[in-house]
Amino acid sequence: MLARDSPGANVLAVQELHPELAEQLASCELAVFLDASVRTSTLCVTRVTPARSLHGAEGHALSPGGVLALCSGLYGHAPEEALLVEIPASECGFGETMSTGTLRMIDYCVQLISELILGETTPGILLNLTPSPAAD
Amino acid sequence: MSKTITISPVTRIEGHAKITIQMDEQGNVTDARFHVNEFRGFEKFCEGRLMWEMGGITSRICGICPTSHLITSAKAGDDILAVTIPETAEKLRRLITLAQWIQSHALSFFHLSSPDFLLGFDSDPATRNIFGLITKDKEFARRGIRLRKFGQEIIEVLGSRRIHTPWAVAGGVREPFDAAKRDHLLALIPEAKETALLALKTLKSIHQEFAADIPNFGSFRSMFVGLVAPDGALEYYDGTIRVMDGSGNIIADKIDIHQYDEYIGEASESWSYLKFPYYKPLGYQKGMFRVGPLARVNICDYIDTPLAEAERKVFKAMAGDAEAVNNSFYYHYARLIEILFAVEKAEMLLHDPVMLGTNIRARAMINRRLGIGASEAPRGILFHRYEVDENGVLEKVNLIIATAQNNLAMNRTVRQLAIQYMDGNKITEGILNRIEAGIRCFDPCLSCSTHASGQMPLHVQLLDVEGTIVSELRR
Repeated sequence: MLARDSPGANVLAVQELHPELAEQLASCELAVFLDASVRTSTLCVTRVTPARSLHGAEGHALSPGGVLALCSGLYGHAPEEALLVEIPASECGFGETMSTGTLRMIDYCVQLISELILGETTPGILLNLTPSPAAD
Repeated sequence: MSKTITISPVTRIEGHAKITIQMDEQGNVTDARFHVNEFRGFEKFCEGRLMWEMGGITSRICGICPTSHLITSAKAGDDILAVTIPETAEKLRRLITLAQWIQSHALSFFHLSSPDFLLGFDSDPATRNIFGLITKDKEFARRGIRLRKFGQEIIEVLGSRRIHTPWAVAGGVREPFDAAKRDHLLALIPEAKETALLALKTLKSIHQEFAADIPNFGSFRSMFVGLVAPDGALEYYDGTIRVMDGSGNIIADKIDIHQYDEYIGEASESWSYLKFPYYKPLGYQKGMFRVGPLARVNICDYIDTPLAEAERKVFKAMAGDAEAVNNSFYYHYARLIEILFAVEKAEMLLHDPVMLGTNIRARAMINRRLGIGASEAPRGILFHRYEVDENGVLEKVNLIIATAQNNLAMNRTVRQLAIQYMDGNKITEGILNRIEAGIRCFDPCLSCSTHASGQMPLHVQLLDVEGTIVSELRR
């Protein structure tokens, strides 16, 4: 939906964040990581900055901050703004689709991110939706 | 007073684990163990699902090995349907299996292990990682990432999507290949081959630099187990099981994969969730064997691609009289030979006109109540065994994962490194890193073998015999 309605936006669906994503992300102005998360019970928006330590770069998968750090380190440029949008994941068993609540939240987030891409809202406004500490 | 040193969690591996080192009153290492402290139990909760769902379920075990599970699950499904899949489907499955080797091996070498090699085991742990590697040699790091991307690209092109592709199914594959996709992938081959050769050259130059350390990195005789082609060539998708001892003698050969449980048993220990597979004819402990790149390159008679075969001969020359390379450090070397092989073999397959065929799937009902699939995942031979009812509902599932098969050898490696480097009262960061690096030789995927993932700072504790912390170190 985002890819169709937002010219200039590139939507990637990935199982985990891997190093090769850095090449694609390095040339972007804005990155939004959208994740179903069990660590939050409400919609959670946090600003992501490039990781400055080992954390997030030590296993097979990277954290959002780890990917941004690779963008800077390998390609000399990272998105000027990066947000992590976490949607609460409530039902994690094997199933054909996501839970009704999560699907509803996805629709809401897609709308918010579309507005962000189109300049109809700002990262600051999104961050104020759910103030929380910065993610690495 | 005796002490226990705990390294928890172990870093730069996939999943959660810890290492404990037990020392006596004199400060001598008496034992060392690699504990896997995570559990998800896929085998149990697959019961009651339909056989056709297993590709989708098991590919979600792990973010690094989904393709291996998908292919092996499809092969178990072929067995239940009792079909021989079309030649095009088999070759397409072979190509995606090679892609899985490339992307996984590239990540292991460039991202996880190269920081040790290029920066040194004793370098500052704050920079001994991919970022330190970028500072040291940006182009090397970039090449590694692009090589991994090449493997991922093949998977995405074949499966039409990057994650959880339902492409391989019981009876074949869902989507055919086409000339445009083939030409796109062929254009990426030259750089991939160049990078594989560069990595080999770099690693071999490092062998000299680490000559004092290498003999301590899990150098012991064990058996090696893997699949080989009917003519003895390196195999990755099919074939029969071969068992070689540490002296290079083939002690069992041409074992049909359906007989795997006559040869491979699984033991459990109370201190780890990771099982301990062993070679049944010799019993638990004595039946320790290794799987994965080191085993595969050891047991095969030859590699049917020219550059990798030339490198295999150099590799085997290191074995000397043993005729098997027994040092776990050389997993890295074997891994790079396999990357080179996979790139060469992918090129050969891409030039094969059979790949563009449209007969890609055999269809049948449930014809057998038991299906077994096996393939060579990046870390070693992977078995899926399904028992189903007449409708294809799973009644029993057994997944034997490569990492688990290396469990006894990983423990032996940890013990050897601890005995060599630990000195009662001194724990240096470099020593701990060497012990972890011993585990990283095997590139264990604990997400697959028990199933979980996460980030892993290092936490080391020295405990006295009562379990009281006498010293602690955090990274």
